[in-house]
Amino acid sequence: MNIKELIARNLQNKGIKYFTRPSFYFLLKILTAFWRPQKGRWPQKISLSFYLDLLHRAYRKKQPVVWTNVYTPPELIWALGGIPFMPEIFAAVAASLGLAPFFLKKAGEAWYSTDLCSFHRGALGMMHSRLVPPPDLVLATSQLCDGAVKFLEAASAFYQCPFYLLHIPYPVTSPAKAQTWLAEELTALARDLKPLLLVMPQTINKVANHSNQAREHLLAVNQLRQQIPSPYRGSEALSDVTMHLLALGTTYGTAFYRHLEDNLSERVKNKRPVLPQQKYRLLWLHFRPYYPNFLFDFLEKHHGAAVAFEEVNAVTWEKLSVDDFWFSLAAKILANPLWGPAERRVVQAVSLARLYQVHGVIHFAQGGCRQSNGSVFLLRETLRRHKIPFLNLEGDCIDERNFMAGQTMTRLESFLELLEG
Amino acid sequence: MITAGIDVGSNTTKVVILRDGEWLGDALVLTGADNRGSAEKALAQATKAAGIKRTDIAHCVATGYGRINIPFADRKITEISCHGRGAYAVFPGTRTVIDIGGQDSKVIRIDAPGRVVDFIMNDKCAAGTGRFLEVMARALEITLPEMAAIASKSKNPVTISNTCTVFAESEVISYLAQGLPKEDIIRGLHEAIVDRIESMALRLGVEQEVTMTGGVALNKAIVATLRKRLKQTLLLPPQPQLIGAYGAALIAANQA
Ligand code: SF4
Repeated sequence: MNIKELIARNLQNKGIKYFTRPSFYFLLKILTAFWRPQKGRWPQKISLSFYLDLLHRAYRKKQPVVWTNVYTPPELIWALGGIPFMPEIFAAVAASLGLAPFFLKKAGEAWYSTDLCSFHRGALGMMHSRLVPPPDLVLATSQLCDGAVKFLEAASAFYQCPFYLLHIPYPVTSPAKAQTWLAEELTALARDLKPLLLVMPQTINKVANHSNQAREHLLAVNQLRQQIPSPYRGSEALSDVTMHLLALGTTYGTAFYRHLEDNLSERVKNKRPVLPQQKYRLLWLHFRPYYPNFLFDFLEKHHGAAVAFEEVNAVTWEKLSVDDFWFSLAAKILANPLWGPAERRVVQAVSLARLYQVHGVIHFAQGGCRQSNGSVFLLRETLRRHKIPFLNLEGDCIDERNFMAGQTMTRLESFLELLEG
Repeated sequence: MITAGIDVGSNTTKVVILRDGEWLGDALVLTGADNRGSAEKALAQATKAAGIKRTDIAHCVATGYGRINIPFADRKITEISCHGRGAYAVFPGTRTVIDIGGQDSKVIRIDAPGRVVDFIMNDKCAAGTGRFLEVMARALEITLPEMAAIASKSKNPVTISNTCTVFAESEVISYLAQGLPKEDIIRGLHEAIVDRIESMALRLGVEQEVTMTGGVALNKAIVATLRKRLKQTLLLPPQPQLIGAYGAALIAANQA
């Protein structure tokens, strides 16, 4: 029996207690500390240690656990002295372990429609299975999707803990005003949460410094990825993205990106690309399917098509300021091109396509994701004007029942044939 | 040089054999559960029709959903490229191809030299495909060729509001129970399919000339309705259901 089957069987048998004990994660943390990874695998060790440490601390309850949605800058919660927990990320982790069907079924039993994004359904299923660290408070940010706010509100009701909503203004007419307004909101939030959390200037300094260091390494990583052929697999990059969604502002985040930069530099220097026979370069929009599937093997091994870059890995924000932390954090939030008018995302897609010299762009159209799918028309039209081929690939990141193998393969292959001309 | 194209679709498997681009022979068999077996059978029939031995085939390209299961094919190419290529070879003025097959439908845009430049395929369900018509023919206890003939008599087509094939079947049964004329129900079904195709075509943009391929192009009522909706002349190859296999055989000739 492999580890996935073991976990799945325990889930079925309701023998889940030890998954929710801090000692379980502590033990795994110790075991991981003894792991001497092969050269090039250090980032994996660091990200595993980060997740085990996060779960250990979240279950140990020495610090408050703050549930929040993806794209809330993790620095916000680290700086407030809490432990950020993004259930959507853990839905992806569950999917990668082959456990999503169990949680999706649980969400269905709790009346959640299959129309709801599967990131949230997966997370809701985990919540109803009581297999995630319970929150002490829930902090939703109104970007990117409304589903996230409703889902987090449901979580706050389920666990009977306070719910906070941070409004993020649409940075349209007056970006400067939006930033000032948001900075004031953040300052007020920090003040309100002070009795619940542990806001200390020293923590803010540390968080800002770690975030800035990681950002420098990530910038270097992204620059190295401009090399042809690619030194980094897109499939890995789309998994590793969780480190900048959750670990920025921690020592883990900094170490992860430092090691990743070293690996990629070594690959570039010694001419060891991940795909020596690279025929096509692609830009990937949105996330990827996280359950085991053939998609990236099919692209890379069968067709020599490398995902050279992903929009979700772009560094779009400036350094955080130690002196004016909340103001700079507001700027980081507002700099996300996935928030606000679709035009911002479209402009970024075109410039990334040029920068990474891709042959085509694939948008993975996550079922139920209004915010991403809503910009497909503009993406397609603009890319077409720039003569950049575009494929809207429908599928699902978490719910494999919505993944049609044959149809996905035909669409991908047809797109690659089109690139071949 | 002799080349073969094999199109393993969800309903039927087609083979076309060419000598230096000239049509030598073809075959069409039901696919059934055994893709490989039906490809072998179709190939055997086609070689017989062409009057050649299997070993005479210099290069073979497989296409269609079952393409990955054809071990004797030298290359596998998608049906998008093969239908584009086949339609262009028959009508070189083709810039848009509408292919309605058993399990999926697609609209393909090709440029002046005949390269595929864009495409769109139906979403995950069977609405807008040949399978939809088959299921409905069964519910109405008539054959597919009868369907088109009956549909053309309708003056007052019903609206089929369900896109799901299973629910649309219940809708048909409820219309029958209400005593509505069969021709109006059948015409309504044709309109429903055309709705799907029309919306895909308009999304991609229709450029003259438009060629229709795939087995459903044999249905005169669908062709007439689509022609009216798109306000376009639709070019019909002599055997539209073989165009994918024909395109595959042409690509095989280029790649040998
Ligand atoms: S995929 Fe879309 S709907 Fe789902 S969590 Fe992300 S932004 Fe929200």
